[in-house]
Amino acid sequence: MTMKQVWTIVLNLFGPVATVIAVLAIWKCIEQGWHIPRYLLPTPSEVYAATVANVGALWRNTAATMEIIVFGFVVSVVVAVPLAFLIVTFHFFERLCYPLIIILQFIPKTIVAPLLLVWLGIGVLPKSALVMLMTFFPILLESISGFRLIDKRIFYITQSMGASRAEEFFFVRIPGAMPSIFAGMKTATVYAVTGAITAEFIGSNEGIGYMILQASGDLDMPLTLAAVIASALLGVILSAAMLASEKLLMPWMEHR
Amino acid sequence: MDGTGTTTQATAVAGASIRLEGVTKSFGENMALGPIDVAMEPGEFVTVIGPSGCGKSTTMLIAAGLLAPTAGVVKVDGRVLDRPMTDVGIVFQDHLLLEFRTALSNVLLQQQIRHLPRQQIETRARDLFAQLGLNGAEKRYPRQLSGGMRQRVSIARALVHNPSILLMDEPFGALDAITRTQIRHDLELLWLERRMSVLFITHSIEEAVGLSDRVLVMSQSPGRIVEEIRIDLPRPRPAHLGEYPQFAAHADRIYSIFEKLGVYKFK
Ligand SMILES: Nc1ncnc2c1ncn2[C@@H]1O[C@H](COP(=O)(O)OP(=O)(O)OP(=O)(O)O)[C@@H](O)[C@H]1O
Ligand SMILES: [Mg+2]
Repeated sequence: MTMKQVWTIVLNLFGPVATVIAVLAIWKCIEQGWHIPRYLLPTPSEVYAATVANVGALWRNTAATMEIIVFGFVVSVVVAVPLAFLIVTFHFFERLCYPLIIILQFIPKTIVAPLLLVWLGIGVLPKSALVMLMTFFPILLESISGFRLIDKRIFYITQSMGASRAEEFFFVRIPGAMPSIFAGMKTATVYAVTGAITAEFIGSNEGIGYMILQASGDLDMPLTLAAVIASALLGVILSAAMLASEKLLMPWMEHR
Repeated sequence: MDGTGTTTQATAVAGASIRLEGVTKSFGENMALGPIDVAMEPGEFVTVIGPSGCGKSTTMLIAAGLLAPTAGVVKVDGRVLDRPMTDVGIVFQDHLLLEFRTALSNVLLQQQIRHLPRQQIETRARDLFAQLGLNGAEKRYPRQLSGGMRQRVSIARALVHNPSILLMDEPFGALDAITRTQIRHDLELLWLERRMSVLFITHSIEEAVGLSDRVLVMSQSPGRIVEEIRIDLPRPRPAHLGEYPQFAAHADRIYSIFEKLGVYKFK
C-alpha cells in the first residue's frame, strides 16, 4: 500500500468517526446540561452496557427482522420488475393496471397492517407482505421509467441482428433498466425497514420492532435505544449490500 | 487500384442487390417520401445526399425492412423484403452502443444474437479494431471513449459478421473534420477489401464525392431523387479532394443542383 492509499483510507474513516464522536458528545451534554432524568434518556455507557448484556437477544431479533425484510423485498422485486416491463411493453396492460396502481399507491400502507394480520395470520407472511407493499411502488415506478428510458433505436440494431423478443429483453432491456431498478431498490430499503418494524409493532413475538415495544413498555430505555440502534444498523447493512451488488452487477457505472 | 471491383479480396463478401420500387411513405396526412426508385448493384457504394428533412433516414429504414413503406416494395437479390433485413450492418448518426457493454462486447453482440462461432468472430472483431485504430479500446465502456472512437466501434459492430449490405445514416455527422477525413478513408479501405453493397447517407458533398460509385441527390417534400451522378474515379481516393479538378467538378455539380432546388438561400 502506498502512502497515498493509506491517507485515502484515513480520510474516509475520519468523517464517520468524527460524526459518531460528535453525536455521543452532544448526547452527553444534553443529558448533563438539562438534567434529564436517566429513565428518559440514558447515558451512552448505559446503552452500551444494555447492548452487551442483551447481545444474544438483539442478534436473534435483528436476524428475525432481516428475514422478513429479505423475503418481502425479494418478492417485491420479482413481481414489480416484470410488471413494469409488461406495463411499458403492452399498452392494454398499462390501461389495465394504472388505475389500480394509483389507488393502491395512495392507501397508507401502515394502516393495512392489521388487515394483513387478520388475513394472513401470525408469522412471517403478514409482516413480509407489509414489507412487500411498502417497497413495491418505488421499485415499480423506477423500473417503469428505466424500461422507458431505453433508446428505441437500439432495437433497430437488434432487429437487424434477428433478435427474438426474449433476446432483446435479456441483452438490452434488463441491463439497460438496471440502474433505475437499483435506484428504486435503494429507495425501497428505507421503506422495507419501516414496514418490517411497523408490522412487528402490530403483531409479533419476535423481531426488533417487538423488542423495542417490549423494552419501552418496561421503561427499559437503555435496551430500547440499543434496539433502535440495531434497527438503524439493519438499514445500513441493507444499503451496503445494495451498493456492493450494484458494483458487481453494473461495472459500467461510475460508483462513488 | 481500379474502381471496377476486382481488387484482391482477403475476406470476400458478395454484396447483395437492393431495389426500391415505387416506394412512398406518409406519416398521417404528410407525404414525406417518394415515390422513389433505387437500384443498387451488388458491391456498389451508393450515397444519398439531400437537405435536412427530405427523407433520407426514412429511405434507409425502409431499405432495411425496419419501416414499412406506404406503397411500393423493397427487393433484396430479387426477393421482396417483408421483415427486417438481417444480412446487414447498420450505423446511425449516434453510435447507439449499449452503455453497459465494453467496446468489444458491443461488437460481439452480433455473435451472441446470431449464434456465430465465438472464436472466429472475436478474432475478426480484434482485426477490425486494429484496422479502425481502436487498439486498447476493447475493454473500455462507451462512456470512456471519445465520440470518434464510439462511432468506430459502431462501424466495427456493423461489419464484424461480414454482412453483404451496409447501411449508414450520416455515420460521421457528429465527428470533427480531421476524424471524418480519416474515418472516411478507413471505411473506403474496408469496403475495397470486402465489397459489400453500401447505402451511405450524408449531408456532406465531400463525403459523397469521396466515397461513392454513385450519388443520388434528393429534393424535399416529398423526398424524391432528382439527380444521379456517377463518380468514376480511382480508389482509394485522396484526403484533400479539393486539389483534384475531377472531384471539384463533381462537387460543383452537386452544389449547383442544391442551388437550383433552393436548398441554399444566399443573398
Ligand atoms: N416517425 C415519424 N412520424 C412523423 N413524421 C416523421 C417521422 N419520421 C420522419 N418524419 C418526417 O418525414 C420527413 C423525413 O424525415 P427523415 O428523418 O427521413 O429526414 P432526413 O432526410 O433523414 O433528415 P436529416 O437530414 O435531418 O436527418 C420529415 O419531414 C420528418 O418530419
Ligand atoms: Mg436523418
